[in-house]
This record gives sequence, C-alpha cells and structure tokens, in this order.
Amino acid sequence: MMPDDLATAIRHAADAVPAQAPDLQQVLRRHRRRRLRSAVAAASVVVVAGALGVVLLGRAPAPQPALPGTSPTATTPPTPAAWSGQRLPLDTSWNVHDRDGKGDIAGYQPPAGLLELAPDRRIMSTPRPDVIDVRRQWIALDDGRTVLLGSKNLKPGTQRQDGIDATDLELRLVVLAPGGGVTLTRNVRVQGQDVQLIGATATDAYLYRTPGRIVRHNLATGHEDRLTALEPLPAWDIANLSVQQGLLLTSSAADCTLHVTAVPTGKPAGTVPSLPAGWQCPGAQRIRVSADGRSLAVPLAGQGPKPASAVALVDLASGRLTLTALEAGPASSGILGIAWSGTTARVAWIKLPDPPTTISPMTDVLQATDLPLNR
Amino acid sequence: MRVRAVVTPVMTSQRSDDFEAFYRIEADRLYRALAVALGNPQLAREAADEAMARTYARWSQVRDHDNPGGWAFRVGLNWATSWWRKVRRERPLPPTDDRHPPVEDPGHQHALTALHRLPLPQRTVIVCRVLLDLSTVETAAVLGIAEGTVKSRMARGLAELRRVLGQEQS
Repeated sequence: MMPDDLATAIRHAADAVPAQAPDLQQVLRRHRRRRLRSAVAAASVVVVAGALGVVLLGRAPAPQPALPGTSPTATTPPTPAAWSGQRLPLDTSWNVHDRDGKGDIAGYQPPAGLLELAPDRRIMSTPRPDVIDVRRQWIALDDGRTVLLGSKNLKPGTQRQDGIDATDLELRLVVLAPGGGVTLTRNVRVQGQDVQLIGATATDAYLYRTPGRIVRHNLATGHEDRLTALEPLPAWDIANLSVQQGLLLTSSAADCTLHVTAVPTGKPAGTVPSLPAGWQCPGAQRIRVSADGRSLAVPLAGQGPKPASAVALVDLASGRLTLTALEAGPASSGILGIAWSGTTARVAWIKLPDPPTTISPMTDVLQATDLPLNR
Repeated sequence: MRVRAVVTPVMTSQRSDDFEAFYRIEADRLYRALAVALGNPQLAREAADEAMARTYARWSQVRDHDNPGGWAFRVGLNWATSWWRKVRRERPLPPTDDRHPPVEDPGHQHALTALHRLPLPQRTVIVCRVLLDLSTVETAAVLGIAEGTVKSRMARGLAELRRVLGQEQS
C-alpha cells in the first residue's frame, strides 16, 4: 500500500511537467516516415541480395492501419488531415421525433457521452465524468480540453423539492484534459440562483447567473468578475446567450434578431444582417464564431413536414450573408454543430432516409460539409 | 478517488477504429509519465510520439495486449534510453511549447524535483504504479522485471521520496 499523500505528491509532480498538446497528426507523420525508411532499407537489401543471386523472401512493410472515414457520402471527401480548425461538438438533443404525429418515431441513435466530429470526420465520444450526474452545457476548447457544467445530487434516492432552492445539490464546473481526465471540479452553485455555462476560454468560463448577470469565472482561482458592460442589453433568454471569441451573441426568439456585442465594451460588434425569413430562429449557443471573430456560421432549420436545413455565413465586417441549403431530413434532426477553419465552416448534419421510417445508426446518417466564406 | 476517463470511438467495427480513442486516452498520460521518468520533457515528447507511432504500426496486436498503455510506456522508455538514441542525441530537440507554460505551484515542482533525484529504475517503477495505475504484476510485466524487484524498488523509492519531501517541508 502506498500512503495517499505520497501518491498525491507524485501526481502533482506529473502536473508540474510542462503541458504539451497531444498531436495525433504528428504521430501519424512519424509513423509514415518510419515506414518509408523501412521500405527504402528493404529495397536496398533486395538489390544487394539480387546482385548476389539470392532469392530474398522479404516481408513487405506492414500496411498502415488506416483510420476509418465517416459515413460514406458524396459530400464528405476523405481529407482527414486537412482540418486544423476548431473542434466540432455535436448536439444530439433532438435525435428522435414523431414522424407522422401518430407516435411512429424515426431518427438516429447517437452514442452516449460528449460527442464531437474529429478532424478526420470520425465521431469521438468522451463519457460523462462521474463527478456530475447530469450534463448541462459543455464547451470544447481548441487546446483539446473540455469545460462543462453539470449537476451532482449529493443525496441520491432522497426525495426533495426541486428548483433553485433544492438542497444537497451541486452545480459543478468541470474541466477535462484532452484525454478526458478530470482536472478541475468546482461547485459554482449559489443557493437560490440558477447558473448556466455560456462560454469558455483557456483561462475563463463565462457563466450566466440569475437574475440577469454574466460573470467571467477564472478557472484557476474561481474568482468571478461581473461583466456589467453587458447588462443594459435587451432581456436575455438563457438558451440564447453565448460568449465566443470575445463576443456575446444573443438572439431574440420573438423576432429572430441576432445581436453581436463586444464583451469588454458592451458595444455592438460588426454589422449583423437580418436573418432570412422562413426559417426557425436559431439559438445563440448553436451559432459558431470563427477564431478571428470576424465571421458567424448560423444554423437554420426549416419548418413544415419535409423541411431543409441551411447555414447562413455572415461576414461581420461587411454584413454580407451567404445562405447554403442542405438537403436534410426532418428539421429536428438537422444541423448538429459547426466549426471554423480559417474562412471555411464545417457543418455536421443529419440526412435521414426519405421517408424516415426507422432509427438509423448515427454513423449511417451523419454528414459533414465544408462551406467556404467569400469575404 | 481519481476519475479515469475513458474515451471510446464510435464508428464501425473496423480493426483500427479505436487507435485514435486510445491515443486520446493515453497520449497526455504517457507523455507525463515519460517526462517524470526521464526528467526531460522534450525528450519525453519525442519518446511519447515515437512510442505512439510504433503502437499505431502494431495496433492490431497491441490492442489485444493486457495493457497497451504500459506497452507504449515501455517502448518510449526503451527508445529514449537506448544506445542508439544516445548516439543520435546530437540532433536538436524541438523547442518547448510556449503556449503551455509549466505549472507554477512550488509544491508540485518540489515533488517533481524529488522524484528526479531517485535512480531511474526506482522512478520508472513509481511511475508505472502511480501514474499509469499499473498493479505490481502489471508493472513487472511491462518493465520485464520480477514482482519482488518491483516491490523493493517501490519501497526504496517511496522511502527516499518521503525523506526528501519531508526535508523540504521542514
């Protein structure tokens, strides 16, 4: 047996090692270089052996175990190494729907956990950490870490009154390392208030606290700054707040108006055009801001029995909007997430069979489409 | 209790489906384990990448290994300490990634320094047992030594570590 204090000290020692983001592509490049060297060496041996009149039954280099692609579709060319942009979390909240209003359901079956589309277009799943019971929101940081907010029931099995005054309940802010290990767990609940995670950076989480406050929560210390510059903004809908790249996105469910505000100043940032008519209003948390803060990708869902999905790409400098329709199935299974790489937006979306009659494996119906933005 | 995350791939049942998942689980842990064992983060980064590249090349066999993470650690350790690597060490190592500055906590740094004072064999056993969560049997298998050797190196290493850390605190 080892004393806990020594084990803790040893783990702390590992934490003191300078962090380096894992790079799978680097590993694969190294593998290819090794394979090439081996092949060249083998060829040299064959030449020498041939000159000596020796039949050499050399074994060919082991074939590279290719990482599989995603669902075979015409819109997903196999370019696994080309994507070096933002991570692409997948929102699978609406994976099953009543297809005819009579209780017959159709849709797709997502795997459990926090899902994202990997750069090589595979679906990656990180299980919900045990330190929370129910996940609320999560943010995929570009450094590979994940920030999430979830609840933890400290007295499972004990019936109590739910709500903001519920007892023995924690709302925990959790940070996961790139490998999925828990590196931070902190109860951010204030009794009598609700809290939502609306954004995160490498150093801070942005929390919405009722009533009507946005705070910047330092991940290292837990210290919170109230962002008062944002408070004169129009009434907020919790589901329609998002902080990304120093911008606060708000969208009004009443008139589908999208607002973009600079977090430090509380002033409008860029020119935001009116969204095209005939589409459902997008939630701000589903909109993705490019890494340079100059562009938005807005997922839109149509309405009606067989609606399409679409993506509006917005150049904030000029206010120009480019709309691209996707041949999606039911709106409730439309766009799962968007990420940017430079001026290209990658859209993960679902295309169900027509007519949608079954529950399909997610891998069979997930599509990925790259849309360029022309500034 | 420390929570160990498991990342699983979700796609088809093809042979190499889960290498990327394995990489996501183990890459950071492997790098840190090698950095503690070797006392050189840059060399550890290269060793970890080399170990992962070799793991990838042999994934169809390694995936069925009792402990693929331990296997990769052994490969990285061997690579970094081999004579061939020493001969080639004149090649400059890649620069440290400045985007991720080292942890500033002095307690953590003291622990790392204390570990680096241990002999490499003791350090590797401690790394296997604590950082890689391997059992005594698994550690013996990974390092290719007897279980008794694992226990004795562990005991001596921890005793020395406790002594050094105690001195620094007093």
